[in-house]
Amino acid sequence: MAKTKQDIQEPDRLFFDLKQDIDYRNKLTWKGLNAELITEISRKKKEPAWMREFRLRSLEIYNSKPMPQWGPDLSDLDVNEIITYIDPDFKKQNSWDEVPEEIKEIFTALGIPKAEQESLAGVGAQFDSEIVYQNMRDELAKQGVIYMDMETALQEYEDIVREHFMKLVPPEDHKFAALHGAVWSGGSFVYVPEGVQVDIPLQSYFRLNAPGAGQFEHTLIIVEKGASLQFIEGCSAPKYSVNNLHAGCVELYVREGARLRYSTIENWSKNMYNLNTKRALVEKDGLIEWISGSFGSKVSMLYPMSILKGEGARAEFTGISFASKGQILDTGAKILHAAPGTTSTINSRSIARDGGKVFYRGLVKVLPEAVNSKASVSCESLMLDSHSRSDTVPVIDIRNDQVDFGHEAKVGRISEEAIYYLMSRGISEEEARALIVRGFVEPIAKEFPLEYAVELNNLLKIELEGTIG
Amino acid sequence: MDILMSQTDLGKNVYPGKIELDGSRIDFSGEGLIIRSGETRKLLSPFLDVEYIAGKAERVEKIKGFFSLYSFINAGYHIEILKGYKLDRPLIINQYSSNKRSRINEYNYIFLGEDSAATIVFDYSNEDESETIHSRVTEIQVADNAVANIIKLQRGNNSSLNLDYNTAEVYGAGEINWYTIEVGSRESISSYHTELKGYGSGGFLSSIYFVDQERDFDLNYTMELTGARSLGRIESRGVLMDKARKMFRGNLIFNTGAVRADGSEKETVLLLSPEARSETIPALYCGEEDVSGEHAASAGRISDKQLYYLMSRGLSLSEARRVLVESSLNPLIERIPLLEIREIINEEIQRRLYDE
Repeated sequence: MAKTKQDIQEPDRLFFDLKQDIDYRNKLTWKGLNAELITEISRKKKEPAWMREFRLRSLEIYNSKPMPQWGPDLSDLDVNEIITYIDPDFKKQNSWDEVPEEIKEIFTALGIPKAEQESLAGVGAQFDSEIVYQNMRDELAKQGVIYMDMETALQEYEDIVREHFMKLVPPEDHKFAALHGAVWSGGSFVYVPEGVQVDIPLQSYFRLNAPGAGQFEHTLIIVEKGASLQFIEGCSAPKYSVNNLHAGCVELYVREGARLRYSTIENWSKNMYNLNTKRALVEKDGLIEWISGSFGSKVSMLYPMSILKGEGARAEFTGISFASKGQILDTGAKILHAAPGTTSTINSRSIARDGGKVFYRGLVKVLPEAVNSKASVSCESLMLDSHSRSDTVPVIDIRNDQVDFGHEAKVGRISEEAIYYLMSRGISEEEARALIVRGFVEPIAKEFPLEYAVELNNLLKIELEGTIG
Repeated sequence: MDILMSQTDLGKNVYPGKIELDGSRIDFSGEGLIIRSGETRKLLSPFLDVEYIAGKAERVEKIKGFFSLYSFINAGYHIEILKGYKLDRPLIINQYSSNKRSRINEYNYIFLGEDSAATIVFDYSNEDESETIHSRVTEIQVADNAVANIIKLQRGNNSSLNLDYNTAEVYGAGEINWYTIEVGSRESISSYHTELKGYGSGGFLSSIYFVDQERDFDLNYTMELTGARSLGRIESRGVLMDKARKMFRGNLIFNTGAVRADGSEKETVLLLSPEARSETIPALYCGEEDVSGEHAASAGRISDKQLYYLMSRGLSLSEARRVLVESSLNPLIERIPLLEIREIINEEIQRRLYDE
């Protein structure tokens, strides 16, 4: 029987929903937030005193800040009910064979070891609070590239970490940045020395398995003068009936003439609050490229920011959001033009279906000193039915007259003419609709690394199944 | 002949119900037009826009503050255009502020009955350079098949504060055409909320502004499309000079049920100074699948090439600049259906351009 539009069903999330039966009773898990807990995390991680103090200061800031008064409703999220830290009972490995079987199984299902062999220069895998696996090709290590988990980096490269850690995203920034500062755990540290080109991507994969837990990984990447790096971040979690929280933090330093491409495919389960903060500082003639795919989570608030600090610095943001039943994806991009001759491009596509809500919220700010800058913003959204919502609020603030700025946005439906045309060519209505949706995301999908473009297509297929697929 | 009305002699605040205005009651009912001065009634809409004003909490407070002034109304008209009546002359309302009349709280209510049509001009200016505050609310209801052309010209002096709130409800195949022209006032916060309620209702807003010196404009335009096949357009063109600052908030709201509604907003800004500050939030809120919505914004400057070309033809720098400013604003100025208003706008802008 042909599927009709009424046949909307909860899509099968396949392996994303695989739950690993890990006995959390035997592990140390901490719920809630207080100074003792934070001191204990810090002690267990054998952190230097400054980091412990930083965590405690962040906790104070967290307690003093109100919940955000704008954007999606967060009243259902009780941080005191979230497990803030899960103590692993195994050590980080650099061979998959030594990773505990039940954990290895999940990453194998997600295709990580296979991708590592075929197309990646290095992989880090985080399970709940800690990195369980990390490895990088030898030739990169020989060139001086550092890729390790944040805890080890804090031990081995304390000075670099201290100089950069939460300097771009200070805990004062907002409540969840402060929360991150207090309880951060895991994440990746990448250092690419001057002039080194890392042509094959590095990837970190974050998996949150425990029900009611939070993941607070910290990613710190420094790409030195003239160097280049591609970094991929993937996230997923199985679905539980209790809220999970992800409040990670990403800080990217792109030095003079360096290039960094930061790709994210986020497919958190639909009980996840994804309140992530990402920021990049780009120096003279540097380039930051953000590729961002948001599919999962219950509520997302994610607005990667690029600070164009050096003359001629560039930022490109390419993003796609797909909100389905019960989801609010409040995403966007922020660009600060702070130097002459800086350029930025924002290209965002969003799709809402089955009661899902997508909200594009963006900011482009051009400071008085950023003369001869160029900025362009394009947001398009597609509504697949009328009980979904799609809102667009791009804020544009221009403070000098030597600027070329263009913005355009569109919201609309699948045009009937296009469907008739395709049907007249012998394509069924469902197929025609699916084709048009794929065409809509194509300009974004092609920016993803190949394997991820395939994953993106699979995700779309899963999501569209039953509606128009 | 135009119907000209003005309110100039109010010196003190008076309470509703006791208002005595010059020309206190003009009744054109024989013609199908009723005008009463200063009628107050319960406000129709609970100031919907407040929730759509993004950011800037102090602005919201200010706007809320002036809403509370409506227990002290001392100016305004109640205008009804009766069913089927088409007013063939523009109705021109002048409101002057002066040192004797420095605080104006104005409330206007305009109703256009079925199949009626009218062009109504509000011309706000100052008689002297004294500091004045002019706050006003205008509410308009447009019935099926009626056409309202509302022209609002704000040319207050450089020390006055202008707070202006407008709402319109359009029913059936009614249509409202707003023309808002703002060139004056030290600070102006204005808001236009149009709700297109009927099947095929139309709302068109053309906004022209010119801000120079250290003046500050906050412009809020909302087009809310509720009726099926309703059509809403917001188009704004403006020029910023010196240390001027403007905030543009354009909201297109598609409510669920607005099947086949079509909305667009477009903003073009010309920046003539490195110290000017232009903020734009062209928002689009959509709860209906079957709509077409678009917004576009652009900001740019006069290129040196353009200036060079005009000057090579013998124009002075300021003349060349005037030509470019006019050519930037003209696409909208030309739409204004009254020649005399177009002339006033051009004069005002020229005066300000050469006044440096």
